[in-house]
Formats: sequence, C-alpha cells, structure tokens
Amino acid sequence: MLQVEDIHTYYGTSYIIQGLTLEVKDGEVVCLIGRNGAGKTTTLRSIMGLAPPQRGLIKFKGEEITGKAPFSIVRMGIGYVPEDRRIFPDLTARDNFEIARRGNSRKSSGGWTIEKIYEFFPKLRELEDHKGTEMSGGEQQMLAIARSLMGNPDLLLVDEPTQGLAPLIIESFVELIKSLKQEMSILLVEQNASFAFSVSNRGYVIDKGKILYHGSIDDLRENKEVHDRYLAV
Amino acid sequence: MMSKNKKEKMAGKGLTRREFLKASAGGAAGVAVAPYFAPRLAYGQKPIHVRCHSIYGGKAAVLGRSVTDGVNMWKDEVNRKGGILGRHVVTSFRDTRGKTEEAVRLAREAAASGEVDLLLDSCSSREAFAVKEVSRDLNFIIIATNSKTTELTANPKTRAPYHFRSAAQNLHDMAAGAKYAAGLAKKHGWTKWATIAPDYAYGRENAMFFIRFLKMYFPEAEILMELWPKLWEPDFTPYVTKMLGAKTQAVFTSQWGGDVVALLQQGALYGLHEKVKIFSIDLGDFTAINPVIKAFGKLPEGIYMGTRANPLTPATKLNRDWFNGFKKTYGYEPSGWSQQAYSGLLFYQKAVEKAGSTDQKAVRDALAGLEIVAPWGSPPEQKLALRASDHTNILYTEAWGKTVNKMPYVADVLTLSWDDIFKAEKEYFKEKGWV
Amino acid sequence: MDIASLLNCLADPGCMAGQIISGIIIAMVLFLVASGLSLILGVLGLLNFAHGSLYMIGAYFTYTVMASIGNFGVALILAPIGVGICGVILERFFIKRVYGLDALYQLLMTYAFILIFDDVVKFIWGIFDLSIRMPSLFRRPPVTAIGTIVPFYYLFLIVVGVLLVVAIWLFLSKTKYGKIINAAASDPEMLMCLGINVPFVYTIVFGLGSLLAGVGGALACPLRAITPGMGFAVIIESFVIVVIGGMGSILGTFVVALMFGLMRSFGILGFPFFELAFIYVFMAVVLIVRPAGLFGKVRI
Ligand SMILES: Nc1ncnc2c1ncn2[C@@H]1O[C@H](COP(=O)(O)OP(=O)(O)O)[C@@H](O)[C@H]1O
Ligand SMILES: [Mg+2]
Repeated sequence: MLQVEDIHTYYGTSYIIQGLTLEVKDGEVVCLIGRNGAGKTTTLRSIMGLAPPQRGLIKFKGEEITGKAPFSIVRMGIGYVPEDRRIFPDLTARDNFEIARRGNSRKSSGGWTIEKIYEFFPKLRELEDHKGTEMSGGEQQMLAIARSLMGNPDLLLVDEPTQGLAPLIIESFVELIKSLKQEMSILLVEQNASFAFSVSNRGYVIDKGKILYHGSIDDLRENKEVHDRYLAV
Repeated sequence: MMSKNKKEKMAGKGLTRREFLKASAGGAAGVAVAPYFAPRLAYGQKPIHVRCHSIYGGKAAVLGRSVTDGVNMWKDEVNRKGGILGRHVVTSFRDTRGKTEEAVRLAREAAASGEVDLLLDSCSSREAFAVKEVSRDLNFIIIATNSKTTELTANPKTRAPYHFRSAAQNLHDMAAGAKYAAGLAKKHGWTKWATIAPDYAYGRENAMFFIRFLKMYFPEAEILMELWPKLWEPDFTPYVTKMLGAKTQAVFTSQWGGDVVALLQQGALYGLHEKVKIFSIDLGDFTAINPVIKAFGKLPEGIYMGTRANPLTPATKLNRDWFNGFKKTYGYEPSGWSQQAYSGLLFYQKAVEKAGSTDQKAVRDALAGLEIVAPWGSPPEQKLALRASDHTNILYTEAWGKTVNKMPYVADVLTLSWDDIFKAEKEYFKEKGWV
Repeated sequence: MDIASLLNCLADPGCMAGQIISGIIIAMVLFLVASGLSLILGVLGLLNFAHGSLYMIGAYFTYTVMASIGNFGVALILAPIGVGICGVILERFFIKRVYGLDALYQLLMTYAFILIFDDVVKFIWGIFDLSIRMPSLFRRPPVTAIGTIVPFYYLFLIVVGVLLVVAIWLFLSKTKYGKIINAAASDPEMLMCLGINVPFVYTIVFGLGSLLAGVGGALACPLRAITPGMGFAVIIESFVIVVIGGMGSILGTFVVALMFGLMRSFGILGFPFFELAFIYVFMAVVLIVRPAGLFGKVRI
C-alpha cells in the first residue's frame, strides 16, 4: 500500500528526516512511535506532500507520489488526521463533511456518506450543527477523523489521536481504530505506546529522524530499550 | 495576518528583486521619455536644449501630454524658422511622477548637467515651491508653467532671481472671475453663494480669493458654505444635496478635469445646473468640456465658465490660428497647460534673442520685465509681460462666458480688464505687506 | 465648522433623508470595491493595492461596451466578467507568487500593477478623461419621497447593492463553495489535506473579488469621469472600510461602508473641512479597541 524509501526532509536548513524507510501493507495498522521531536509528524507531512522530502521515494499503491500536490495525494486515497486536529473554527460538523466529501470512484462498494459517518460516530449526529470551536477535544478528534473518512481513503495517516484526551475516551478510540481497520490501512503516529500497541499489527520506533527499530508488536514489547523508553511509566 | 501554515505552503516561489524590477520597468517604460540630442547642425553650433519636467502618470497624465505638445509645437515652429540665433532647439522631457523629491532631484540634475539651457517646471504647485529653491541655489533659469499659487512669486521674501512664472495666477483669475460673477449676481440678485473647491493648495487659494473679491465687488453676497472635496473625489452627491438643501443660488467651483465632470454628472441627477448658477473656472478647458459633452450628449447650457485656450478668448486671428494649428497637429484641443508652457517658451525665445546668447545671467536680465506678443495676450496689442518686480506673467486674456452647445462652446464672452485686476491685487498685496 | 447646518438638517426630515440617500450612494459603490478587497485580503491574505485598478478596468470595459453595443444592461454583465477574467489571469501568472511573502513584496508587486494597468489603459483608451451618458432608462425625473428627491439611478444602485450583499452573503455562508472559501481563509493547508485544490480556490476567489471591483466600476460609470488612475480614489477608502469592518467579513464591509457613507454625508454638513480626518480618527479608535475590526475575528 505505502512504501517510504530512504527519505530526507528539511525544514529550511534543519535536517529533520535523515533517511527513513517504512512500509504499510494492505489491511495493516502500523504504528510509528517516538519521543517528542523525533520526527513523527514530519514523516507524515513528507508523505502528504506538505513537507516534500528532498531525496528519497514515496510510493502509494505502486505509484510514486513524491512531489505531488497534497490535494492530489488525498484524491489518490490517503486520508490525513493532523496532530492538532485543525478543525475549521467557523464551520459546523456537517459543513466539514460536506466540503470533505469526495467521489468514491476508486471503491467498488459503499463508500462513506454522512449517514454512515453518523452511524459510526453517533455523537457527531448530535453535534451536526455545532461549530468546531464549540466542541470538546475528544469530539474534535472524532470530527477530524470522520472528516478525513469522507474522502474515502484507502490509507489513513493519524497523528497522535490520543493526545490530551481522558483515559476513558482513549479506550473508546481503541474500538474505533479496530473497526476502521476493517475498511482501510492505517499509519498511526503515537507517543502513547500502550494505546498504539493495542491496535497495531506492526510498529516502527523513530528517533532523530531515523528508524531505530521495527518489528511486530510482540517483538517491540519484548525489546528492553523500547520497553524502558516508551512503556515504563 | 497570515497563518503560519499558509506561509509554509506558499513559500515555494518568491519574486526576486530582479524579476520585480523587470516587471515594473514595463510600467515605467511608457512614461519615461528618452532625452533627444539632435545631431550637430551643419553650422556646427550647439543646439539650445529645453528641458521640461511634468507628470505623465495617473490621473495627471493629461497634464503631461498637454504640456509636452505645447512645447513641441513651439520647438517645431522655431526650428522651421531656423532656430534661435541660428541655433537649433532640442527638447527633452522627464517624469516627476508628481513627487516633490523627484522634481527637485531632476531639477538639480538638469541645472548641474551643463547640457540644459532652460528648465520648464510643468508640475503642480506642490513641486513648484521646492523647485524654485533649486533655481535660487544654482542661479539657473526655471520657468514655472503650471503653478497658479499666488505666493509662489508674490511674496517678496521668497523670490528667487532666476525663477519665473508663465502660468496664470489664482489672484488674477479670481479677481477677474469674481468681478464677472459679481456683475451678474448684482443684476439678478444672487446673494446666496457657495464655493466648492478641491482641498489642496490650488483650490484653497482660489476659493479664498473668489470669496474675498466677490464680497469686494458685491458686498451683499453671503457665503452660505465652503465645501472642500479632496482632489479626485469620486462622490459629489452629498455636496450637491447640501447646496440644494440650503437654497444656494450660485456656486463657484474650481474642480477641474474629471472632477468637474463628476460634479456635473452627479449634480444633474438633482437638477443642480438648472437650480443653481454655476461659475466654474476650469470647465472651459477642453480636457473638461469634451467628457462633459460625452456624459450629457451635449454641453449643458447656461453654466458660467472661465475660458482659456479657446479660439474666442481672445477672438483674434492670431489666437484662432494657434488653437487650430495645435488641434490639427496633435489631434486634440490645447489646454491651458499647453498654452502656459508655450507662453514660457515665447518669453525665453525673445529673451535669448535680446541677450544674444543663452548665458543664464544675460537671459535672466532680459526676461525680467520682458514684453512679447502672444496669441492670448490682451487685445488689441496682444501683449504679454513678465513683470520685473515679481517675475510673473501678466496681461493674458482673462475671459468668462456662458456655455453653449456649439464649438467653441462659449457665448457672451466678457473679457475682464487688467486695470481692475491690478487694483484688486494692489489691495491684497498691501494687506499682506508685499508691496 | 457649520454645526448650524448639521443641526438644521437633523431637524428637517427632508434634509435628513437627502443626506442619508447620498451617504448610502457613497456606500454602495465603495462596498462593491471593498467587498472584493476584503474577500481577497481575508482569504488570500493578500494586500492587493491593484484592486482599484480592477475597478478602473471595469469602468473602461463598460465604456467600450457602451460605445460598441450601447446597452447598459449588457455592459453591467460583460464588464465585470471581463474584469473577473483579468483577475484570474493576473492571479495565475503573478499574484500567486507573493502569497505568504512579506507584505512588502505584496505591496511592491501590486503597486507595480497599478502603474502597469494605468499605462495599459492609456495605451488602449488614451489619456483623456472619458465618460458615458446616463443610460436612457434612468434619464427620467427623480422620485420624490419623504421630502427629498431620489434620483432614479440611485434607487437602482441601492437595489443592486443590497441584492449583491445578500447574494454574496448567501453564497459564502450557505453553499459548499462558500464554505470551502471560508475554510481556505482559516486553514488552507488542512483544506488541501481534504483533497481540495486550494491554489484553484485562490484563483477563483481572486477572480470573484476582481469581478466585484468590476461591478463597482461599471455602476460608477454614469456618475464619474473615466480616467487613468481613477482607481486610486477608491482604493484608500476601500482599505479603510475593510480594516474597520474586519477583513473577510462581507457583512462588516457592508455595514462599515454604510457608516462611512453616512459619516461623510453628514460630516460634509457639519464640518466640511474635517470630515475625512474625522473618519480616520474613528478608524484609529476602532483599531485600538478592536484590532481585528468591528466584525473581524482575531486569527493567528
Ligand atoms: N516548521 C518547522 N521548522 C523547523 N523545524 C521544525 C518545524 N517543525 C518541526 N521542526 C523540528 O523538527 C523536528 C521534528 O519535529 P516533529 O516531526 O514535529 O516531531 P514529532 O512529531 O515527533 O514530535 C523537531 O526537532 C522540531 O523542532
Ligand atoms: Mg508531532
């Protein structure tokens, strides 16, 4: 589904991603964990074309997407839920869905409709006429995810969805990710490793813009360094 | 104002300074006029070089064009007759873009170049005062052809020995205009007056003079209001409704060019020129008459206007020929600006001939108090003079008339007497301590 | 100072109505120009000094249509569309390069276009002031109401102005495209991440803003001389209105344009020498109290 091969990304002159390779296969949930400032967000921004890598190759469904405009990348089937949620302050939940709705020519079956979103997130039905600024953090996060689903993605990039949310809400997000997994592949960026490991098939550990370690969730759990750094409280 | 995100996303391609300069040069190319140095003449004499500084861009572009063609007309006539003292005349033009610093910089450059013999300052009053100081500094002859602000030459404390004015003067124009208006007002009992003038040196000064002289000639006149739209004001409606609301009987205006057009256009919606007698000093210029005719399908009749650069003012062959010659050569009617630049050049030509050289000092001495014959000199002699005391142009035809819808668009022309103008001037100077 | 005539007028319904109408008329054309400017500033973050030139081109296009076809209705449609197309071309080739750059670059680029447009206009239409006749439909005696007269064309202007403000407001707040434009104003990058071609949206917004300036130019034609540089007379006031109204707020632009018009028409009654200074003082006060403008939201 997604191959990232040896990408190097800069912000101005700061060298942030320093030769990173990762892969997401069909139907997988893959997590990317790392400390604050490790380069997780920049990795996602590189994939989305928001911070195009200066070197390296990114392929989606076998096609190269490096250098494409973000909106064309979205149209090819990648959804993006950014870390700060980026809810449009003046728009209602429903407005958000309307502007994010894309045709689903790529998919033979179903596709997301506003009705289907409301079945999936009953809470959003109640909030349909509320503006983004009138919602709680958990609700905003739900809206951000639901909004990107309206583009019918085959791959969803989610950046720290649990950040700043109460434990109870985080628990509900486990179920959410698990059910989304039925419909698409997911690349999940997290600092909360226990949450990430509970929903993922595989994981990568990133530090200083490089992949430090990768493997199955069980491998990662057993790795002493990973355990000490990200799981020990 | 800009979100950080927008900045990141759009930062891709900036416009480099070079690209920008290239882009703007395209815009400037149309207005910069390259200097023209004529080839050496057969008789090996250095040509006489007249430099003209004017405004070629924006709304004032028409000013620059009128002036330029006035200069060109003179140059062609002189060269056709073999030049001055056997020397060919060449001209060059510079765009001050209506900016005082630029006008001063260009004037210094011209005066110091050693290439230029005469500088015509054909911008507005704003630049004229600063440019006068260049003349004072460098003892270089500069003739102001556009600035009508009286103080430019009238105040003895600020006179500059090499500085002259060939433009008409607000004081003279208004002494004449007010005399004309007072005569009609007295006859018809128009006592309730308003003034509407553009809010800058020119408008402020001539409205002040008009009121002063109107009251002098017709003490019963009551000024109901003084209105000050800014120069190039797009909206005249509230001024119109205010005048009509106060039952104004007559209004003086020094709006010029597009402004007098807009005033009449918006006024017409309320019947302004039918309900109120309009005295417009600048409607008589063809730069205003032509668009007014287009806006109304004809020239509205019965408006009183000052007329300059008109074949009827004065109605002499010399003036008619000049007007028609200009129109034939350049395809449009001359404006007051063309006329005043041309006056300045006639003075210069005569002074050089009299002095026998282009030496600055000699020409200056010849210019002071010089008398010439000019198409718009007061009939019957058609004399025009550069008064020795204050280096300003006098004796040009001061005429007003009533609009009619037929070329040359003016009827019942009254030419005002310079004796009266001098009398009014003397009184004002006395009050100012300028005698 | 002429406070007496202000007080007299306030006591006389006919005079009041007359000055109110003149204030509204000032507001209508200014609103059309300012609304486009506000849209462009609010959504694109661009200080478009050349906006007044687009108004000028609208007037010249109207002149040409009137000279060739002679129908004002046709001119009112063709001229703004022509200006909209000019806007699209301008944005595609030049303006898009200065988005997000320092305001100084935007100022330099758009200022250069003021000069370029003035020269283009002089080249095509000549330097002399032009004008068109009041369209024959409106050449009829004014309507008399509430003790004042209302020129027929002014009634038309008011109707068109109000219809347009309602139409723009409905478009921006009720349609999907309006919502996309709103989202582009707050977070273009996120919008792009929802698959929206934001550069295209920008072009459309610039074109729409230009079109509105074109409508202003077309409607002003029967009231003002058409001259090179005529855009300069409206651009400063439009900026004032946009800043006080809150950039990007169409309603704010409309309300402030009305306030501006009324302040002028009554200011001319009471203190004709200072009425503009008064408005600028008002602007300064608004900006101190509400830096984002009366109807603007503070955005980071
Ligand atoms: N816009 C930017 N300009 C310069 N440096 C940045 C920018 N954004 C992030 N960085 C730097 O890049 C590094 C990686 O950041 P990020 O990808 O956001 O990390 P993470 O998401 O893992 O917390 C950090 O050192 C951060 O300071
Ligand atoms: Mg991050």
